[in-house]
Amino acid sequence: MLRPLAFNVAREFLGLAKEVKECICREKRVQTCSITINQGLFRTCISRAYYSVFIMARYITNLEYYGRPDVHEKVIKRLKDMGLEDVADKLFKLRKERNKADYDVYFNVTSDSMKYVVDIAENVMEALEKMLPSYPPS
Amino acid sequence: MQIPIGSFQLTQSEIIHKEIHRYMELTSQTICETARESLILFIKSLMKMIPHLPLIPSYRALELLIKKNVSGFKLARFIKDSYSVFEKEKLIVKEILLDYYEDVEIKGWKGVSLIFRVCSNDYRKLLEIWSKISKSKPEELRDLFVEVEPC
Repeated sequence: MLRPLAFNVAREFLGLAKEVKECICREKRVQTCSITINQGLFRTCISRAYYSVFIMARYITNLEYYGRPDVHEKVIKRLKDMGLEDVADKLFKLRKERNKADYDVYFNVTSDSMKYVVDIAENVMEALEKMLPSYPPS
Repeated sequence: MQIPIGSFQLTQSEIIHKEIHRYMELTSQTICETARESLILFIKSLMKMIPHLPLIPSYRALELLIKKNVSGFKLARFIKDSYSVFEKEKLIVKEILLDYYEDVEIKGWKGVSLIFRVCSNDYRKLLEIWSKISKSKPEELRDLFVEVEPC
């Protein structure tokens, strides 16, 4: 009997978590650390790409104090209010891709789509980092 | 441009006309007369501006835009101007989608995305053009999200 896709994706997520845990906890020698390339890896990659940018954007928009689930929407709205339309649009795209990656098991994540998402994340992160207050020279 | 559909060969423009007809029928059954007129005006403006435009609007997206009182003419003008940016860069826009979005985790968060599917693997260039288009979005369309993706 065919296993449901949800089962495969769920197992792949756990598989990746275990691989990382095994490497970190030295259950395996560092030289033998390996990561299996599959949907679980691509989906995790997209999800982390979104959260990396979201966390930075939440800081820039002074919304770190706001602990409700709709903080994701609020951050995007605040970016628009700050005139950062391009950053808001790209963060929204990352949000959509993250939701697909984490919830839609019937959507096939390709390595190309994963690459594009990571490129978007890098592009947005660059723009956000420019907005960070510069530290005083040492 | 010829697109095979079953045993028929329909041009892109014929497909769009069929879609428009379908949306008009749906709209007339479900939303008020003014909204319907606004929708028709939007589609007509676009068809006039770019007759070969590969536009695929989702019915729910159009409905949400109308509810938010988005100016059909402003939207049509923005789509046309954005399309021209890709043309200037000699990039082929395969599809333009007006896509409805509802967040799976946050209740009540819905929106509309204008998605340009562009035939290019030059991600850096796509991201640059995306920024340019987003920044040129008029104030009246600030609720609309713009996306550029490779196809």
